[in-house]
Amino acid sequence: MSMVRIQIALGILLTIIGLLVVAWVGVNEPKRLEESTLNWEARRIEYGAELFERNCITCHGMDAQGVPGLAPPLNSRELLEQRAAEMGWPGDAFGYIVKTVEGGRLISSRPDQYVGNMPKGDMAMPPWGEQFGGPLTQFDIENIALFLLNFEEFTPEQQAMIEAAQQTETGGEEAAGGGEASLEERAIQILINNGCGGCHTMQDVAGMAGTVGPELTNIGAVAANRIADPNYTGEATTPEEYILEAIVNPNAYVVEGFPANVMPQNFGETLSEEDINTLVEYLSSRK
Amino acid sequence: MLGLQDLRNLPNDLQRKLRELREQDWEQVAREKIDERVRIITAGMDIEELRAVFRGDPPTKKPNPRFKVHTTSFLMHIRPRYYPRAATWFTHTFRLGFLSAYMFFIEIVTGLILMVYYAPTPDTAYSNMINILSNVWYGELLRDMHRLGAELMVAVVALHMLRVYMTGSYKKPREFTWLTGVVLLGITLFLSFSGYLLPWDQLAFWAVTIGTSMADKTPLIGKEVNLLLRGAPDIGAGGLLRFYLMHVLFLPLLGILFTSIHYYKVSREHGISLPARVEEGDMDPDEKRWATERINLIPDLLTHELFLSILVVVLMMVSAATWYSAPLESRAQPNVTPLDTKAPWYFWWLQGMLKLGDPTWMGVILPGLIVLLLAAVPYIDNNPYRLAKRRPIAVAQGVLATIAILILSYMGLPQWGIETPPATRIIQDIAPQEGVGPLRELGYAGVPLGTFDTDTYQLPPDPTEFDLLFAEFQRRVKEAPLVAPYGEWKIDLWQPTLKRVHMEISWTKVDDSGNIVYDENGNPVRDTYTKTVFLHQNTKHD
Ligand code: HEC
Ligand code: HEC
Ligand code: HEM
Repeated sequence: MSMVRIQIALGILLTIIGLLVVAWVGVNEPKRLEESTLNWEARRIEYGAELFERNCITCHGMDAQGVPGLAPPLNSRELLEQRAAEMGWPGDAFGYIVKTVEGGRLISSRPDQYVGNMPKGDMAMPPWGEQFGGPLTQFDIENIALFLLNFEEFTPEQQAMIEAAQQTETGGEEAAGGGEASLEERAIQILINNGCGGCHTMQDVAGMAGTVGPELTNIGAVAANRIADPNYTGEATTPEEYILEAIVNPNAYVVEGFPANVMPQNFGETLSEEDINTLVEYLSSRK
Repeated sequence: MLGLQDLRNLPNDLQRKLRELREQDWEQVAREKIDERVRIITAGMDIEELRAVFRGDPPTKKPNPRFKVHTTSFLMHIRPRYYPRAATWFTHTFRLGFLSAYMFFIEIVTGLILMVYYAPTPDTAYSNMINILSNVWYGELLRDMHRLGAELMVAVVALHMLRVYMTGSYKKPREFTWLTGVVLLGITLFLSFSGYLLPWDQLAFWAVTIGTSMADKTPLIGKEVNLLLRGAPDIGAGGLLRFYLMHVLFLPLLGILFTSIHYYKVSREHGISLPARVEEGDMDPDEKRWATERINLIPDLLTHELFLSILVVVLMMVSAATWYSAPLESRAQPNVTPLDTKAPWYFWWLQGMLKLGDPTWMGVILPGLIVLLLAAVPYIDNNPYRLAKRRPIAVAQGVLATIAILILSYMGLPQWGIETPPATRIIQDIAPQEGVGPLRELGYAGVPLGTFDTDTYQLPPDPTEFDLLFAEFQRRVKEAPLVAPYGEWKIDLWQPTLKRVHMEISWTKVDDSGNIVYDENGNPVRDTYTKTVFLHQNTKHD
């Protein structure tokens, strides 16, 4: 057979194969498009989580659970939808989040609960959109909104998984003979988990960078000066007592230059006694 | 039998009579009508001829009706009627010139379709990519084909040049063909590079930022060149629009122009060179006669080219539908420089050169000289012979240049010669800032919840992939050149469909002379490097 005929025959065969490939891809297209849509939404959520961690946890808390006194919780889809309706937003929660984050919030809608940066004379929440001088693009902000709206209820199995993981965590450490986490580690965990970092700075601790309240880097030494100050209005006589008082009864003495009633008044109820003791012990050691 | 032509010469009434008669012969009339159509479609061959073509038979008439096609059809008139047999040998050209042109064609077709779904602004470009992938039928296939075609085109054009060099085909009288070829190489590289920016992802943005910053190093006019390319001091809306217009308008037009000139030289003026051993080797006269016999384009070479075209496009399609996937990283972030910025592979050699010295010399002047040298090759090389054994030095130079390019390319890899702090490197290898990496490969379903640390972790007897990965992390942390290194992963479920992996490596800080640094209480100071990776249930990396 001549080369011409062989190549024509093979060419026809290949054309058929090509058409089959096109058909095969075509048949799978609906499924692929669906998966791709889910995949890209998922990636945008991952990226939104990253942006949230980078920009928002100082006020809204490590887990977006909110920081009492400072900024509201955002960790529930239902809650956000409810807030959109409460605030008279005509659209859906997605639009509410995007617009709020883009433009920030000049004045807190709940100044008795969440003051944000207002005590510093700034907007409660600064604007984040680049068109208002913020660092985030429209795309970034949409990603964050997608991420926030991805907060749903855990299923009971997931709840069980989470608890099991927490159990092995402590169990594992003991079994390994590593002993308890150090005082510092435990204390920092409590500080971060309760949103203290949103209002207070400790220069060597990641996640403690707030400026609403006084710096706590050397609070052990500062506390001694406070009680020695003639203007001191509280009842503490030792630095330890002062710190305990500052946490459970902040208005007993309001540090000069800072507003009263901003530091949450109820840590005495929300924190366990053990946690408070850990905090007092750790903070007073910071000299 | 009388044909239509003969009919016209008869007196009118006789013509009419005859026509009436013939109209009664249905079969005859149908055959003539079909014949006429076939002639129009094939631009000159009748049905009998077409049959002969398909059977591989010789032409049915004289003069050869197949040559008529070359005068009637525009596309075929560009092509020569025949080549000498030896010029068509596969091992002479490897069809690389043809494939260069064919890749260019595929890029134009796929590119035109992609254009429909793309608007060149920073606000839309990246979302358009996601849209093409998630909402457009065959969108991913098209994008993969376009990207694959672009990479193949660069490779094929470069190999084409190498073959022309090695067979000595640039020599007199084909110097100008070579020169237009060098321009085409430049156009090909810039076409690829300008397309690189369009998805507006991190990969694109930073590769192009670095690429254009080299223009900045041009002596005297660097600032202006850079500004001209970027449209502003930094790449933004203006730069994207410029790259887009270059990619879809200016460079393709220039490419079509130069391909036309290049091919005109090849097909009309000089023909494809004969293999050196036929041209100047001592070949048996009979064999030589056979080797220089004419091979007609229609049908021999045309069927071959069509066959090759289909083969290549089917291979590309299968690749795009299976293993090949055009990357799309996270959206461009002008204020986040990725850790390992990597140029496209065909510029690794340049990245390698940049590591060797001053960017003005290594990034602009030397590459400029290389291009000039390349363009001047046929004018410098005055050795008239083409057989390898008669130009051993030229052949050696070609081989050495190829090896040099490969070595430089290797040196251009981000892993080579750039020191990343050990902790950063370990985590970057496990979960790179951009791209997938083994941790994301495991994904949401592949990682358990809990805390894992390098001090206490022990590989279970039947390890999962996660266990193996953490064991690898543990090994690397322990072996890292750090004082008292410690690594920890904390994995929790942040949202029902989102896991959060917090990774941390800490070590005791030492000063420049290797002494441990202590704080005021006398405790050693610890440094830490942390990174959090999020894994969503629906993410699929391919
Ligand atoms: C300076 C502290 C601060 C930072 C940082 C901050 N927020 Fe806020 N945020 C607030 C305050 C204060 C409010 C207002 C609460 C109110 O009006 O009741 C608020 C309100 C919101 C609301 C509306 C919630 C509601 O219940 O109405 C959203 C959504 C939000 N923030 C998202 C974000 C995102 C996303 C980021 C990070 C990009 C962020 N915030 C960073 C302080 C902050
Ligand atoms: C909403 C913001 C906010 C949060 C959250 C917050 N604080 Fe405060 N804190 C303040 C402000 C404002 C002051 C100063 C006014 C005052 O003394 O009440 C302050 C004062 C203090 C002081 C006294 C500082 C000094 O220099 O005398 C201590 C100690 C302190 N806070 C500890 C904590 C701890 C521990 C937490 C977390 C459990 C916490 N704070 C959470 C706002 C906050
Ligand atoms: C888009 C890029 C290019 C296209 C489409 C192209 C196309 C072609 C084609 C179709 C041929 C016929 C012979 C063959 O198939 O090998 C050819 C020959 C040739 N090309 Fe190219 N080419 C390109 C780039 C280059 C480059 C980069 C060079 C060298 C710098 C070059 C130099 C030559 C020379 C000298 C010939 C004549 C070879 C001979 O006669 O054997 N071309 N080109």
